[in-house]
Amino acid sequence: MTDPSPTHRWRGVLAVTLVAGGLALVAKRPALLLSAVVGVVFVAYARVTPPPSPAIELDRGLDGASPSHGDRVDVTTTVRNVGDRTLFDLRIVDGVPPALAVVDGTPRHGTVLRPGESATFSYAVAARRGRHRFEPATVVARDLAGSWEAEAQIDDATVIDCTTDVPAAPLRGRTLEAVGRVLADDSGAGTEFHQTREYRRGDALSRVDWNRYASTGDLTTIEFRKEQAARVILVVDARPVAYQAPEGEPHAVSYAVAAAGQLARAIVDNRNHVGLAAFGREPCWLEPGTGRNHALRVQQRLADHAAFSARPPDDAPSVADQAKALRARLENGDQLLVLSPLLDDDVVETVRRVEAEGTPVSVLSPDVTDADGGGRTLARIERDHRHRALRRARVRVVDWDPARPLSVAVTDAMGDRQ
Amino acid sequence: MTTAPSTENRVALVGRILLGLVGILVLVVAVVADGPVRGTVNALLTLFGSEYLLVAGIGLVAFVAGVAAVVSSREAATQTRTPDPERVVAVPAPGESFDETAADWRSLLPVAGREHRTAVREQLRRTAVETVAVADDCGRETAAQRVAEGRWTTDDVAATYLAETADLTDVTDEESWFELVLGGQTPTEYRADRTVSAIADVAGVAEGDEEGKGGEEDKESEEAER
Repeated sequence: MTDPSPTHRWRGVLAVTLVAGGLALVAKRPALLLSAVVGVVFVAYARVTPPPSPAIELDRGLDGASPSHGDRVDVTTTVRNVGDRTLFDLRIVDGVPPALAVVDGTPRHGTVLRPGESATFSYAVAARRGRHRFEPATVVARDLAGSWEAEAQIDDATVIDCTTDVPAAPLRGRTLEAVGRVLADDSGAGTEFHQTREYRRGDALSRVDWNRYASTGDLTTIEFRKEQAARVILVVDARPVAYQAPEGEPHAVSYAVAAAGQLARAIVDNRNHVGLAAFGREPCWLEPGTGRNHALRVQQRLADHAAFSARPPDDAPSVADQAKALRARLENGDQLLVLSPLLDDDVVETVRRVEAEGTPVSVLSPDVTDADGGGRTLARIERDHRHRALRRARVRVVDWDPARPLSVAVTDAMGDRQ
Repeated sequence: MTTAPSTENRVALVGRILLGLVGILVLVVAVVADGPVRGTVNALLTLFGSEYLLVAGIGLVAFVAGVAAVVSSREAATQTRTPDPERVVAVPAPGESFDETAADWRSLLPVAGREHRTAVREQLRRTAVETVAVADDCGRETAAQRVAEGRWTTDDVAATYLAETADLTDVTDEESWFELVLGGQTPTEYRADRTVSAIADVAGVAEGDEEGKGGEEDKESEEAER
């Protein structure tokens, strides 16, 4: 909370009073001098009122914290004066998530609160796909004369979670020497059929293909594909060029950040390792790890780190430089899952280079183009070309229309591969 | 949230109290010590020569202070600006920068606008070549040749615009000045729009077709997953 500061609201009255009084004395106008006295009263009143020292608590409630895309969510915000002085002029502007629009009511409220009193106001937002954290509410308290004011940002970390569980992330085959659920290219412990080979002494009887033995008399052993863990780095494209969207819609970075959270959960649920990085305003790196606690760390980093801010940056280092720094951190066996709307050629070139250097890359691309004529149509066509260029470079690309659940896009893409 | 006054504010508070005490003291002295005050006033009157000059001097000081306050009040008024959270954070739409470049009035300038015109045309040409290569399943060189010869679309404006031999110094018959002025478009913007439509036709992209995105089926599957 900021210190109370003078607003200088009454300085104009002071000026008029002094000018009127001075003129009255010089021009010998008693009536004018008398009128200046009124101004003196106002100025003195503003000077004697003490600055406000507000003590406020804020509580925010949602009628549904996990709505579907497009649903209306009613938000009820309550502010309470927990101090011992009356707040004569209290103005509250709730911190609506930047990617959501207010569709009913207003997130602003002005009120007078006696000690212990509370005030409640409501409004509604339209849910959009993603995990939307409310920003701190802005509270401004002024004294009775309006000559002092104190400002505060109050956060209660409310989240509208408009995401669904994703069964699996679209990963490539490269694995670690640990058990996970990514199918390795060689055979071993697993559940998916890999091949049959001639029986060798010591093979388990449960692995013998008895049907084949019955029909042909050949003794063969069934081999399954080995399931191993993958080490995946989620890379969110949060450069200025990624902060684009049709009017009134969330931008691509908000979709990418939400998807990264969902995919991180899916990756650790499948006993794989997940790390986090960003192409954005400042470097971000979270060492890969596994387990539910690590998934929570990823979520926390996505919510707190400046690189994933909902507001676009003015500038960012080149993606090639950032990719170079990222490659220096990668270990043998790592693979990247880049979340990018693919709205420029630089990111495509970077992904192709990383893939060519031997690190497998998958791309999940939220589609924020709308083909609404002119440049907008051109943007969609160019994006299609970038997809094609990546696929030609053997990069796996999942095209995600954010109007559809991420799980559907991922399942479709994995179905296409199989 | 709670707040404690800062040192600066404490000093201001003490200053206000002192100022009030000084005012009361002056009032008390004026009422109680009539003799010394009258003597002081008489001395001032002698100094200035007349009552009017003394009062007018005080008035002049007040006037000058008032004018100074008027001048400073224009910049001094400081009130917290609250955010505007009602709307989604403003970001450009994909393709908006291309539209702005194409519609820029500087593209009308014969020499200075060449850079703008070239940037728009080259971007469209690259996209057209890529699109034709995919649609006709041919190599880039073949596609580039078709675009350069204007054999990739039936739209004459688009074909001429991207053709190698195009003379773009003037408005063509089809795009009359009247039509351009009526539509509020520059020639570059008009040609770019026609060319994008032609590329979209070849690519099979339906302009403004957002229907079918996320239908009921998706909604049902989403709710089932919750």
